[in-house]
Amino acid sequence: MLRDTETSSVPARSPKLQRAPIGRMVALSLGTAGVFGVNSIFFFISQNHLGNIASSIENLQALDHTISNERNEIIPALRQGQKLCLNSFPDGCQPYVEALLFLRNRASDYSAALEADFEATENSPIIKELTALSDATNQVAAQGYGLSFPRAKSLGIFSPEAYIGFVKDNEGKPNAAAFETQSTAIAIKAVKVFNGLSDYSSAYAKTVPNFQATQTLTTTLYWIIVLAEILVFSLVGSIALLNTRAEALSKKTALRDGSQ
Amino acid sequence: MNKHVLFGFGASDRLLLLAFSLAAGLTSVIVGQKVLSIENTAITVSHCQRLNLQNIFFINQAHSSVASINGGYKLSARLPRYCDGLLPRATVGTLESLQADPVSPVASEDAIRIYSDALSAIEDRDSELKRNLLITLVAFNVLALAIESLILYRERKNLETESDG
Repeated sequence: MLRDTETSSVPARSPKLQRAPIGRMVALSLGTAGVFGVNSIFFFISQNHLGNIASSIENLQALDHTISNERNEIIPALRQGQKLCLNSFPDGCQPYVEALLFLRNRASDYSAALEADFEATENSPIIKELTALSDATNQVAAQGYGLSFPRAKSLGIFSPEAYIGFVKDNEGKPNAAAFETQSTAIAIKAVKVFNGLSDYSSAYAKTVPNFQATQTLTTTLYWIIVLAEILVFSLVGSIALLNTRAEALSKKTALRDGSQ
Repeated sequence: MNKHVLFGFGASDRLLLLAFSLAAGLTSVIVGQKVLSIENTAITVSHCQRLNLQNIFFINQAHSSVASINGGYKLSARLPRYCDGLLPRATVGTLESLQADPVSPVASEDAIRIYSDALSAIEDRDSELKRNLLITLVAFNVLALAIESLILYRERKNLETESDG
């Protein structure tokens, strides 16, 4: 730092300016600015990473909740629907067909969601299980009611009422024994698939990076940014103050030298 | 008042003004960093709010499902620990008092309501603080520039005096 004019007998200007560590301060401020710049990039990346982890956790929670709710909804609906259907076959089968279609649609939805958000591929066991479940719904329809869902679609049948109506009145060949076998099998398969989904969700949860650790890293990077910025600002400010003071001192010295 | 008297500060005054200008600038920097910090916290607050919202959706769906009619649903509505870290201690204490049966519908619904209120309060508080800080930041920036303009004015006067002399 600059000292005052106590060494006034010597031509003061140049030695005083040389003593001020401006060069080192500039180098330090440039270095700190570099640290600030690099750290800002890391901070930005870390913040985005934190957002991505948050999204993964939210997606996982949504998946868990959906699995939990639909397991509690679909399985009882299939079982109750099977009873009603067997009691009055095929007239009382509409609730069962509704539950079966719901299961078929949800199997496709789960496949799409797992592939889009949970890194599953066509070859993942869970996707194969879901595809098999979707195919099994069609087997229930084809063997139990004699009318597969793709054929029903091609005939322009889009609602459970229309489906049961067609099975009753037209070419459908309902078979109660085949229905009982297939519907019992699909209920067991559906429970297994829901368990598989829960297991997949738990396994995926273990691959999601720790939110808290990333949050701590982001906070650390933030504090480095804060300190670096304050340091750069203080250094540049100090240089400006030192230069102003040096200028004043040199003017004073020049005036004194002139008056002598 | 003569403007030369008003602005006729010497070298030490100039040093003082420069120090004031730098202090105002430094304050702007610190305020700006605080705004960044609030934004950083906002990621966690939004995340926790979305998790809580999903619990609300779950309960709404569960209420209309067969399982709910048959015997209720099981949900622990407690959010991760880092969400609790945002809340006031008293609120966390209230949430902990629900732990006797954390998956019961009543406890879950209470927890969801407490989280919802507390997280909204944090969001409102941070939003207001951020607004005030941004105004402060602008004010200190203008103050630093205003002081800088005084220094520049004086420098110009000195140059004119030197060239006249």
